[in-house]
Amino acid sequence: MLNILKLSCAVLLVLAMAACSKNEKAIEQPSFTSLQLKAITADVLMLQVKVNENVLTDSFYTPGNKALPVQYINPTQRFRITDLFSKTLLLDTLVDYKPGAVNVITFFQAVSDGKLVRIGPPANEPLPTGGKIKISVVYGIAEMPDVTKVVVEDSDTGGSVYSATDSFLLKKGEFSPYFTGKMINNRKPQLKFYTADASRKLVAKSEPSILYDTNADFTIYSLKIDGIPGSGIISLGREKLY
Amino acid sequence: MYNRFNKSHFEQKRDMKKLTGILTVIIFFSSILSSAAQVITLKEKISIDLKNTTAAQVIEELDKRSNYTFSYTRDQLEKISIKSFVYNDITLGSALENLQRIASLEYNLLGNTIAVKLNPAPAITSASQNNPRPGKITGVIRNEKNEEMPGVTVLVESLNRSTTTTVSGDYVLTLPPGTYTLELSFVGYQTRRITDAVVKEGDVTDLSAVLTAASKQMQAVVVTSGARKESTRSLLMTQKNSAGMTNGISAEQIRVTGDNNTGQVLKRVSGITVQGDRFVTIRGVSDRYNNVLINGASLPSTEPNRRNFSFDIVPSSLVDNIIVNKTATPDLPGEFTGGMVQINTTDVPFRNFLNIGVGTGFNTASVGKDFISHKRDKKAALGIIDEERKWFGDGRAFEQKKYVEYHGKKDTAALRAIGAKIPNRWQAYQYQYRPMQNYQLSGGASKMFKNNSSVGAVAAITYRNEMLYEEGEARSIQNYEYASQRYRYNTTIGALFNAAFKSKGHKIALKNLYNNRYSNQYDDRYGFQISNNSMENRTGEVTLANRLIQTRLEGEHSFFNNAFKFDWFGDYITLKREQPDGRFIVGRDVDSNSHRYAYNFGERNLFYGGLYASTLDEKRSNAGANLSVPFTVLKAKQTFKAGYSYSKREADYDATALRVLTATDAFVKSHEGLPYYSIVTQEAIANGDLLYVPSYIRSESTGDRYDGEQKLKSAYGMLDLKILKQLRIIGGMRYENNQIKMSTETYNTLGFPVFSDSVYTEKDWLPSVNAIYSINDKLNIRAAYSKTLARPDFVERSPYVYFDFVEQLQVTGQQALQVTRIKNYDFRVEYYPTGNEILSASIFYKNFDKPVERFYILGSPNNLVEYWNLYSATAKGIECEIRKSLGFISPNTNWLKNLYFSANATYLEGEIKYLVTKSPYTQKDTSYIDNGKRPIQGLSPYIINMSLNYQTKLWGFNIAYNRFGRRIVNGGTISNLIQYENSRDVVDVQLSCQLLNQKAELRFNISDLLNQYYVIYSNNNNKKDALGGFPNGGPNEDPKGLNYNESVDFVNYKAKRGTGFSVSLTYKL
Repeated sequence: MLNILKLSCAVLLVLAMAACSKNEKAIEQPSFTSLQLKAITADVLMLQVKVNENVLTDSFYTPGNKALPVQYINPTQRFRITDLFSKTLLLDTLVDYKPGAVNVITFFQAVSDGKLVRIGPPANEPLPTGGKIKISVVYGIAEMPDVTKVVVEDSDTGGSVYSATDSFLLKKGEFSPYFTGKMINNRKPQLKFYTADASRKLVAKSEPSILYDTNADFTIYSLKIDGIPGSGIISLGREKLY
Repeated sequence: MYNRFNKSHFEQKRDMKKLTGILTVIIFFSSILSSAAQVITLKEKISIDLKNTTAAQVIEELDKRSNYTFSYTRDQLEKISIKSFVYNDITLGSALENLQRIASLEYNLLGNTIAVKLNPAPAITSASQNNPRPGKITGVIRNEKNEEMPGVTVLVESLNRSTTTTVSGDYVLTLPPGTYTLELSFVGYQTRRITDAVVKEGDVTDLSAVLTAASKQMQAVVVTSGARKESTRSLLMTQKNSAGMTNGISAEQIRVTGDNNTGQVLKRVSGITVQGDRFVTIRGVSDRYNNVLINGASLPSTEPNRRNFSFDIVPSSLVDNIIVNKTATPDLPGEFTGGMVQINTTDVPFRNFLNIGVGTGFNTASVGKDFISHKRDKKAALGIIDEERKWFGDGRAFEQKKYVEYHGKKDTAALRAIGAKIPNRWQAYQYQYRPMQNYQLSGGASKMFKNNSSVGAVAAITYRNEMLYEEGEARSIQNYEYASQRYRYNTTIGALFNAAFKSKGHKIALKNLYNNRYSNQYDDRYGFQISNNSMENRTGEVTLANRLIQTRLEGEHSFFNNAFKFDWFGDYITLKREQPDGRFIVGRDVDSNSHRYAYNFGERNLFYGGLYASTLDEKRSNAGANLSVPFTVLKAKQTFKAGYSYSKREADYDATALRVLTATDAFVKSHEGLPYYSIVTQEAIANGDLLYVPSYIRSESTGDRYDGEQKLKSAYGMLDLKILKQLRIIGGMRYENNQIKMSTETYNTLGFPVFSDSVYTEKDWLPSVNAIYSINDKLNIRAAYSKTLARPDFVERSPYVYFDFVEQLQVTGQQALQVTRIKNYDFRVEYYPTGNEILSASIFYKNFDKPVERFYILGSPNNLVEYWNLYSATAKGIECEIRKSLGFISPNTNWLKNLYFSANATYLEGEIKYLVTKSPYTQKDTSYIDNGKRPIQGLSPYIINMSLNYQTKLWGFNIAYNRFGRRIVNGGTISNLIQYENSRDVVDVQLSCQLLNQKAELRFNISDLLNQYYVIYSNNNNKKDALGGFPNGGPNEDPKGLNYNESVDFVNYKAKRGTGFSVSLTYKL
């Protein structure tokens, strides 16, 4: 009888101690988004996209788009892009998912055999101040020189009179530095491309209206030929990369 | 025996005395303890009858009448005079033990010789040295009407000591261990002499008795019986003599069982089913038509829509008695139909005690599961809600009236500031399963005074904590089809403190009860939401905390030589029920089974999730008095009893529902894909991206509150008449005047209050009569008629809307709801083979006028439950009951005598009549009464209880089986929408054993051993149509009729709740 009692006391004690121990774990519910993979490449590629250690897709043909739903806890993900045709690792980068139903991730190869880059917001660039925008542009247009002098012109008063506010040299296939544009009366800047030599010949021009969909933070455009009128000055169109 | 000895034998014995005397002296000192004990165990039976005698003469007589030889010094023993030494058929050991105590002797046993020596110490002291702790005899003396008798003289013959019973009819005698004869006497009653009352060291002997009124001639006759026989008779008479049809269990009976709380004790009372230690079913009738009185007061329910009481908070050691009335008498409240459970706690314990109990256990459905809920309250294990969760209520962060005003005025700054104070508790947490824990501490002390008055107090603290999980399937017609997971976390803390003064003529007691019940339920459901045409995940958490405090002062007095009895009471009860910070989330799966959820921030209806909080403050004050006056008619003692009581109840209920809405689509768009807890942050509320908006379920009501006041005045007069020797009639009239004022307040979208007030005055005369024809000492025939009531509760009469988010049910009361009045007719034959046994058969008929049901109504986006009256209903039934010892199988087998079989079965047929206002054929307005062939909600067509019980002082077991027929959960007049709880076979097993010389008790319980499915169903079609559409409201072709048929009936809920295993240890200090 005494043994039964001792055994019971021991069982009760163990259970009571177990009952008092602390346990609590927050359940991290994964966020989800639809990845809109977008690749603008000069070459035709078959990309494998690996996120962390998981293959997201190995049949992403470029140039092209692909939509894939993903769930995540940590918004920072490691993307590794391999061209399965050439079995070459093209890109190894970190991507931050943004809240929202859709995350557009754009890969860009400006020129054939060129580097594949992910288009995203700059890491150390200060945000634009109030009423202004920050833009970067890239071009791979064969008809344009390898190097151009880009002049940024803003509307002074919100009217149709523009004056130069910034300028820089830009190589074909490279991204321009982020330049600031004023937005008086929502008037966007216009860009003029000159030859880089002393002749400073105007070779291309973008109208303010093509920058209609700038983001609040940064915007990246790939410039394309919209038309070449009789003047021979290329009228530029664009594709929004970010 | 004396005649068997011849003369030569006596001569031989004389010679032997010298030799044995020398031997005795040598051995005496070395073996005194063991040999003295041996003497007491001598089993040889003798009878002796000596008065005004000496110890020498007693020894000489014992020498003659036994087979033992006595060695003693006659001169010494001649000096010890003894007034009386009378025993019939007792053991030699007991006789010597009594003599030892009276004459201060010591014995030594050697072979067939007993050496007798004078102990120099006084008798009682000597006894206490050898047997240091005295024992007690206690009991209650009643008359043939079951009335407790104050002032009865209880005389201990051999000690010439006496006491008198207190105003409650009880007595306590502290005596040295031994066997005694008691004499019970009272003017006008036959004296009873009870022999062989055994008092054991440190133990308590229960000895209750029933005195019989007698003529002067008969008073001279003394009736003698043995203690065991008298106890059995007392038990039998107590049951047989009760005024109404009752079942009960007394403190004496409870002490024999191994039960440690009242819930367990109640399960032993025949015909009662206790679900979850909280809900009582009597005669197949569920909680609406039953009533529970704790210490004479009806306590508020801790459940919003059901009557309940946490029986497990009252330790069984503090229960004085439990009585279950099945028929009404005028002195009982009129509000019961199936049965009334009266639990009376003790006040002055008959001995000092301190018990500690520890228990643990697990449930097979829950063990090993991870438990999910929102962040658990830090002190949930103590039943305390975190302060930050108590944001709703007057004087707190969110005052409803102010908020709806700001909302009406579109004062968004004020709304943001208040909303930002509501914590972000939307994230779910995971907890490990912990076994059930149960602790109990109870104690009592009393002090007796010389004039037989006493003071005493008892106190107890109980604690219980358990986690329960169940998973199943949940459906609602036209609404949803879900897989369901339910996680519950409960903590109950109870306390009790009683103190009293008791004397022969008076008793004043203060009784206090505290109950804090904390429960948290988290439901996680995933499936198809028909009304939204999408797969959804719905989670809902409801925390409910109830704090109940009862304080009662009561008195009992007897006057004029205990002829008149007067008792009074006053009590004050408070209940605070809080449902803080209820959280409901609806996530629409963007792709079936992908578990990627999108949330609605546009609709204002709570159906799409949100917050819900409520508070209820209830106060009750009761006072009353009863006077009992005896008189003599037809040469028999008759009784008139009258009483008055007043009860005032005030309830203040306040609730709100809030939705989280967005002002612009941009915020929602930019946060799509995030968990709800990452979207609905306090920052988002403070910034104005999101806003808490008063929500509504029906019309444009944006919040609800009601105030209720009830004043109930009752008076009664009743006669307890013995018309013939065998016929007793108890009858009278009770008058109840009930006034209720209700005021429900809602707010329109502009923040203006809208009032719905109603006043009810209900006056009822409630006659009742019980006739008992006693054919003989063991056989009664009873007939009873009574009128009783079932009053709707405040919430049922308020147009207030409660939204049961998990069940997606809108529950609404009706101002026009009427009181149900019931006429009860009962006839019963009962046979009591012994005090512990009963065989009875009853037939009963009940006529319900305007019974209340929960009507189930289809709606969109959710279904509804509304309280409505049916026109009338009847229930006719038979009930059989048996409690029988299996000793009759083999009368000489002791263990069979302690094995009891109990069974109780009720079969009931019910019919309803209801008003039809819209033709089911033409859909045009009409008005006629239609008939339905089913019992009303709360009645089962049958109930079966069976148990096999074995109990000895050392161990016992109880196997119980219970099954009740399908019963309505949600009713109405559309038969295929009525929801039934299906029958289940429930088997419970209890095993208990006493350890450490009965100081410790180990108890093992198995509850719901069979673990059958718990099913709620309706006789509605369950098949999808040809296009794959979900079933809608329509009858099915069911060959089983109303019974559950898995293949064709619509299952509303189906789950296995698991088998419970628990073990507890109680130690008596």
